[in-house]
Amino acid sequence: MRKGQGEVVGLVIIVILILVIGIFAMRFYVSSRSGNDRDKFYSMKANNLVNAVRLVSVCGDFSMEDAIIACCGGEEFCGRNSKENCDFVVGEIEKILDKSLEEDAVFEVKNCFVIGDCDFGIASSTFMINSFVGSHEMSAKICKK
Amino acid sequence: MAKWLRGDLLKKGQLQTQETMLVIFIFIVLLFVGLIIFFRFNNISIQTEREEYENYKFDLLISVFPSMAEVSCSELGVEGECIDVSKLEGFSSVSSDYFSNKKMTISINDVYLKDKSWNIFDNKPEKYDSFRNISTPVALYYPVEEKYSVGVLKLGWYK
Repeated sequence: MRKGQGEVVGLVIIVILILVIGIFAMRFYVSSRSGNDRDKFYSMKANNLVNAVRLVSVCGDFSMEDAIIACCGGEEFCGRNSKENCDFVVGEIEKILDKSLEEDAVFEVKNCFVIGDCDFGIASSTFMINSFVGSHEMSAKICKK
Repeated sequence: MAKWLRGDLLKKGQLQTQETMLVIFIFIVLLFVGLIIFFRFNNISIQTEREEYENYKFDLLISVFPSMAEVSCSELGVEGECIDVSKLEGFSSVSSDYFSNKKMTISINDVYLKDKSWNIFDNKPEKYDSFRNISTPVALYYPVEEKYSVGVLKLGWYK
């Protein structure tokens, strides 16, 4: 093979390599974008979940948010002592998670309790709930399979 | 110039012209093949992007639908973050005008306080390739009892 021919072959190999790398880069770019869209969906779903749990009526005019505040503050709630109330709150939230979601989920009130467990998931925004004993951060995480 | 020399030059010139034409021809063929591949790839990419955008728009409905003024709960004009079930019943009867040509289904089930469900919209086409459904928990408000419950908003899309 002449010197000129060798250079041409080299050039062709470089062009093919650049093309292959370009196609792979494009593929990864497209797949990562669709992943972001899915993450946004799970984030909206997690926000909806926290909102629904927070508002649900659990005892007369009292909401789950009031029950959580009482549980985390160690107070009585609706004729139940603190421990009974916390057991009730955890049980009801577990029931809601089970009935309203297809995916596994984690529901957390910081420095109070955590329901569920998973390594990877998309979290909701943090909702602040304020009580006499201080504020608590409430959030949910939809687990990714 | 000698005749033999002139003929030789002519042959050499013709050969070079043919070579140039061949190179131009191959170049044009390669250019067209490249253009066809590029446009096809571009077309596929645009179609994929369009599909992703439509999927994303559909996913957004889990956030958009509960906050629509037609169904969301409100007090003294201030909209809350829940669905008013009394509005749902009214909205179900006019939803076909609202979503008109959309090939989709919308329904809500109460999964906490009561065993109730609402079919808000259902427009199943005769022919469809695939069906995609998504769901989300939502807060439901019963204005008569002034109580909140948890519902599941189910959205289906016939493609």
